Parts: sequence; structure tokens; C-alpha cells
Amino acid sequence: MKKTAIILFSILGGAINGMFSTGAGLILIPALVLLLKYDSLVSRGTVISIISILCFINILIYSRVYEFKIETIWIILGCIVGSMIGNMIVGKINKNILSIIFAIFTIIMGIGLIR
Amino acid sequence: MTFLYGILPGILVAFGMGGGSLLIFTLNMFTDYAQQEIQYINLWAFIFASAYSVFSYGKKGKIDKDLLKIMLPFTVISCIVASIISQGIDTNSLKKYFGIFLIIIGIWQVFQIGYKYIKKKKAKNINKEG
Repeated sequence: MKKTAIILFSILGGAINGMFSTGAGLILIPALVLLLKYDSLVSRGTVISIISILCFINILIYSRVYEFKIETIWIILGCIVGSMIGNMIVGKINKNILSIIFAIFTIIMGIGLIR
Repeated sequence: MTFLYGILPGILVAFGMGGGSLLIFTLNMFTDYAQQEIQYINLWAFIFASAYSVFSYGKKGKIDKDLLKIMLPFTVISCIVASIISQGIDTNSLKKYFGIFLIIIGIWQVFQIGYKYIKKKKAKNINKEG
């Protein structure tokens, strides 16, 4: 039963990553932790490893059709700097409050895109 | 300017929250790239942003190889199929589907926060009774 659930979530997570290039972690990590009772850090580590492989495969598929934009390098650098800032403040901000803000903002982003 | 688009998503990556979703949304709002082009940029950004995390989790022994062996083939197959399908979808429709997905994710996160809150409250009550 547990293995079947893992397989079903894997199919769903992979499909979402393939379709939108993001979002698999938002489904797979909570599914493993809350529903299948895996350790939080193990779930995160395993899922991030899987998503990295998926992203690599996706890049191969996308690169046949889309060109690599030079702006991407700047965005990547921004992400790295942001990630460093995030690592500095990660212990100083209440994660529960941030989760609530992010959940509400995610819904607002969704509404913004379908309008 | 493009450098700034990555800052906030990068911060969210460090918190383990949907940095990719925010990056895609930001690029949608401030550039005129097609949804698929934005997704391609996001893939590159994720590969770089996650490289350190994968290394770090691996070093700490926090990657479950048995779980990985079960999940990987199914995620790879469904990912390839969905990726090919997504490239045939027109950019506005794909953007809308992504918006719908974000709304579902937002509701799913609210559910998670509520679930954790109830669980914590129950544990507190048991401790009090005990």
C-alpha cells in the first residue's frame, strides 16, 4: 500500500515537473512527510536529488527547441546571492509565519496568472 | 535588472519553499518571454541552486537510496511525457494551467499548516492531561 502510494505520488510529481519545470517538491516532500511518515530531512534530500535529475532531463528536452538566453546567467547569479542571504537569515525568521505568507502569496500568484 | 529577479526566489530556495514558482511568476510579470522559455530559465536556475543542497544532503546521509530507487523511474517517465506535452501547449494556456496549479498548491499548503497546527495542539493537550 505504501509502495503504491509512493509510485502514484512519483508519477504525479514527475508529471508536474515535466509540465511546469517546478512544483514537484511542493507535492512530494509533504506527501512523504505528512502522509507516508518519512523523516523530513531524508524526504527533502531524496526529493531534491530526484528533481535535479528531472531538471537535467528537462533541460535536454527543452534545449532541442529553446535557445539558452544570456540573461539566464544573471538570474542564476541572483538566485545564488539570494540563497546566500536566505541561509544567513534562515534561523532568524519564524518559518511558520513565512509558510503562511508564502501559502497566501502562492494563491495570489495563481490568480494573477489566470486573469 | 535580471540579476534582481533571482534574489527573492533564491532566498526562498534557502528556506526550502517554492523558489521556482516565484521565479516563474516574476519572469511572467516583468518580461515578455513565452511560458516555456521562462520554464527553461527556471530549470537552469534550479540545477545551480540545488547543486549545493544535493551535495550537502548526500554528505549528511540524508538521501534514502531505497526510496530513490522506487521513485526515480516513475518520476523520470512521467516527467519526459509531460515535458513533451507541455511544449505543444500554447504559451497562454500553459501560463493559465500553471496559475491553476499554484492556487491548488497554495490551498494544499494552507491544509498542511492547519494539519501541523492541529497536531501540535493535540500533542499539547495530551501532555497537559498526562
